[in-house]
Amino acid sequence: MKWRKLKLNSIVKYIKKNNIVTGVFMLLILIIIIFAVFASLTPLHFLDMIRQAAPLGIMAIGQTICLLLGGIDLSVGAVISFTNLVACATMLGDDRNIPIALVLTIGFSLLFGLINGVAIVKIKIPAFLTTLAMSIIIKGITLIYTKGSPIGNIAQSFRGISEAWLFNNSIPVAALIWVVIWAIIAFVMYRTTYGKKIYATGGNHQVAKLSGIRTGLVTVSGYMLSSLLACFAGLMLSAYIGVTSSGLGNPYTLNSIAAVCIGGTTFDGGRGGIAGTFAGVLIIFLIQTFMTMINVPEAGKQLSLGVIIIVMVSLNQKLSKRR
Amino acid sequence: MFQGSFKKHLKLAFPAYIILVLILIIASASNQDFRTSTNFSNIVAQSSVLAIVAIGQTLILLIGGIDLSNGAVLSISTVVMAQISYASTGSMWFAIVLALIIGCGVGAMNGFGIMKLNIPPMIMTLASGSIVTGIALFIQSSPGGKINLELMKFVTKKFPPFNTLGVITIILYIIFTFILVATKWGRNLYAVGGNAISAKKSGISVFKTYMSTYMVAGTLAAFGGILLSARLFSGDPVIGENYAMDTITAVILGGTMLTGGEGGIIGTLAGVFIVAMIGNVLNMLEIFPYYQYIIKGLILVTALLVKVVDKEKLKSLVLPKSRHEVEEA
Repeated sequence: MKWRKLKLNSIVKYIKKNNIVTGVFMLLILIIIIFAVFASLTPLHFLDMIRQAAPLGIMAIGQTICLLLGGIDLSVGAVISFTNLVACATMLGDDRNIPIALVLTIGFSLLFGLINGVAIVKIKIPAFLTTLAMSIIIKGITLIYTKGSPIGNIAQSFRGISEAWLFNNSIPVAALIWVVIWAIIAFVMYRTTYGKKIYATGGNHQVAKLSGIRTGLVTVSGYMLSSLLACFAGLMLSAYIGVTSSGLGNPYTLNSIAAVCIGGTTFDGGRGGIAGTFAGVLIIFLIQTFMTMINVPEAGKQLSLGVIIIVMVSLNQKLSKRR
Repeated sequence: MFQGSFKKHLKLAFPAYIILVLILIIASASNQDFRTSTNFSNIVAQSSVLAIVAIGQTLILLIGGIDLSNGAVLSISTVVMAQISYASTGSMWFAIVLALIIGCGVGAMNGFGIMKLNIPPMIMTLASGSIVTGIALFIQSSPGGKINLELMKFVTKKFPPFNTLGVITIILYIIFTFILVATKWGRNLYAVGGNAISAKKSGISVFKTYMSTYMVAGTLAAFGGILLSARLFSGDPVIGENYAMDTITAVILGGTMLTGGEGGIIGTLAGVFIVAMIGNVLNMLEIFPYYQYIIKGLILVTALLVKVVDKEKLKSLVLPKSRHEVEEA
């Protein structure tokens, strides 16, 4: 009896401590129920949605880390477009070219992340300006590389990472990859010293430095991780569409920021986490799917993103002020 | 105090003018097409819209904010012009007033979100930019439409080496230099940007300053859109994509500090010409035009880099000396 009471108490405590995350998951469940009732959502349909949301989910993890560090990464969309073009141009639809495409795209994305991080740490340029400049530079590199006319397509067997379903067609591979990456990063963020260092650096840079954390290294690694995850998202997205598409990543920067905002991560760093982001991504994706279903054009999605960001950030600011 | 800050701005703006002159010399030495009056008037026409939008960005950076929504406001203003202005003179004026009101309204929304809802300026303007782009795409999903012919004739009128656009830009720069130097509102901008808390204590309404600055900047962006649509004779819902980045680059090149409180629009003018000429110069040097994206990004980073290095140099120059003075005294 006593044990049960204790456990109930700890659950209540957990909910109180993580009220934003709990709220977000409740909102998600509510939206899913509304969907299930009004749009007759079957589990299969839902799994397919998760499959399509996976790229956004993977890159939003990186965006969350940048926001936790007190920065932001506006170059993720450009990294996705870059990855898409390079992957298609090197694969040329041939399975034998997959390794070289992977090496090139991952290598370049890590390089972009490294430059972002070093510019932010060493030159002390504000994160959003560094990454904004970086996104323009990457866009330029992409255009010069393709000379304005992209070529190639994705190798057939590589498309499996987005198209294939495992276990007797019951679980999509993309969703599995998303959940595995999310689980690994969640473990790192919540259970290792590296994760604590990220929270400490974002929460109070000066104090973190004085307590012996190499904040520069942590920040650089955070931006590299964000860029790498954007590259993974780009690869998965490329596998999904199978061809090159210029400006493929453009909407993803704002989408990921909106997803992170909904998940309750604040912009002053050190508060929030990737638990909320997981729900935030699904909420964004469900809202956009719903809009597609009722024939709202692309413009409506963009408009709704802006409104969502403003509402969620102001709500977060109010909640964190009250605390 | 204020006159000193204006002099300081001129000093900060000086490097931008040197770079501008160097670019002009190199470009005209290497290509004779560059030094024609037609090309000059082209450059003026190309850079004037950017110059007008950059005034607003300068004011906002002066109070310590940032505006990433100006490109979206510019785009929606071209779309409004393309949809409404063609029919008659009356509809032209209606379209102009409507575009300016939209710009002003977006600015008010930005100011309100930043001050009352506590949203960081970067996020607020990113979000409002997304909203405005969404509305612009609703109105018109692809480039097109027609602009009132009289307006187009007026805006594109040329009297080499100048044109209407250049004259409007120069008038606006004179007016806003006067406002920044000689009016109370202009002084308030520097005070709020320098130190918002002490500005509040000395009786300046920070809320009103933010609101008015963002509203003025929004209106200027909309005005830039009106001129751009008349120059191109069409509207385009995403034409302003790169304006946020370009104006920030121009303003920072011109010696305005990101942290607020220092700078002005005289330097911005040189920064605008540098940014706007990159494409033109690359064309003249027969370099693949897409390199301009990389060059623009590098210019922004370099401008910020130079400023940080300068600041530290200044500190190391000033500190030992003052310490020495303190010890002597």
